Amino acid sequence: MKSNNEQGLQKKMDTLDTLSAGFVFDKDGAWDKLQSKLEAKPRRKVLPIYWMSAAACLLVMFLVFNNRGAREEHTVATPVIVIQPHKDATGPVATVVTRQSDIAVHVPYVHITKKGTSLKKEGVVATQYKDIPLIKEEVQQTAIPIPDSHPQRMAVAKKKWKVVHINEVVTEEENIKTIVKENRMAGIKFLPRYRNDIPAQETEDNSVSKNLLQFKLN
Amino acid sequence: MTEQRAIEGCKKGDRISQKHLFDAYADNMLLLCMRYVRVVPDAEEVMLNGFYKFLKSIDTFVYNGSGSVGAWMKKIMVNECLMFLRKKKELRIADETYAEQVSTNDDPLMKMNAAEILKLVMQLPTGYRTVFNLYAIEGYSHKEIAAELSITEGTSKSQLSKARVMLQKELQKTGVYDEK
Repeated sequence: MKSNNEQGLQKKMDTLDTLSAGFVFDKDGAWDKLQSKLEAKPRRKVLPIYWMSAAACLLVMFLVFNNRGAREEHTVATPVIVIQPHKDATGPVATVVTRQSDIAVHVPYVHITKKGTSLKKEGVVATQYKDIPLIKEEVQQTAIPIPDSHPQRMAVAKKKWKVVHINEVVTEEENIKTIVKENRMAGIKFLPRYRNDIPAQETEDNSVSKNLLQFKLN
Repeated sequence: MTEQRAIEGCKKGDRISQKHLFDAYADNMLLLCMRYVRVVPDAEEVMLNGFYKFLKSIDTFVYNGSGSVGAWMKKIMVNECLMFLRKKKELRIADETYAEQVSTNDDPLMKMNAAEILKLVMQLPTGYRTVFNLYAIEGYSHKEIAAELSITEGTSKSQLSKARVMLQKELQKTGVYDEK
């Protein structure tokens, strides 16, 4: 229960106005402020759409580049070039030429610089070419399956021949000379045959082929 | 324009009715806010916020005769003041249990006019001032004050007692209060 003094104090304070309290109060100015506050439309809460879209873009970019980095290294199938000898060829012919190339494409990665973003693909292509050997004892060839998109094309191993190098022919010069002498004495025209299954062809200068001129037979 | 018609007009959003109520209560409410907030521009801002809330929530108000508008408005203003003090982190009252008993039978404040009381009250520290305002002028009970300020009833009593002691000392300086 409040005392009489406190109730009296309450009433006393209610009767006080600003002027008697010694304060200057601009009532009209305060009313104008209140009126403008009342007339102000309530502000709608704006969703941070720009920030959300920017964040989504960044997320997508991150996912895309991250996915690229995770890709496995691709190996390009080695192309095989098959050169078939002409059916009338007489000299040492490389029947099958394989052009081996190991192509390794490394994963491109991205350099992000401070100013902007630049994409720089770095790929290393290593190619090895193997020269065609003039003499091959045996060419190891296997059937190379072509992808399903070209089922008809298939590299087929050809028949293998023993090819004698020109230097090896020179080492047997004496033997050849003997053969030539015997042939001359017998009135047989010299036609060296290196391979039994291919018929020798006579040229204008009585040599079998251009390579045979180097044999020093005369 | 009667107060009741002004309230009805305010419910319809009538500016003239709103202005009528503002003119009638603005002075009193500003002084109320000054008792709590002490700084005049802050008190004016708090008073305007209180009026804004009063006019926005006028639809829920039920007129119960003269005095009901003032009482409701006072309650809104007091809440606004307390909210302002909380925001400013000025309303920090440590828990206390000891309450010094001060006689209030012969209250020297009753010998002073309202303006002098206001000046004295505004000199009190925030905690003492708030509890004194709520108890002695607004008529809150210690239980209500404790709930409003999140303190114990003992703390409220202690704060009020210390506020009275401080006021008596100030009155002794001015010669209004003679200790026997």
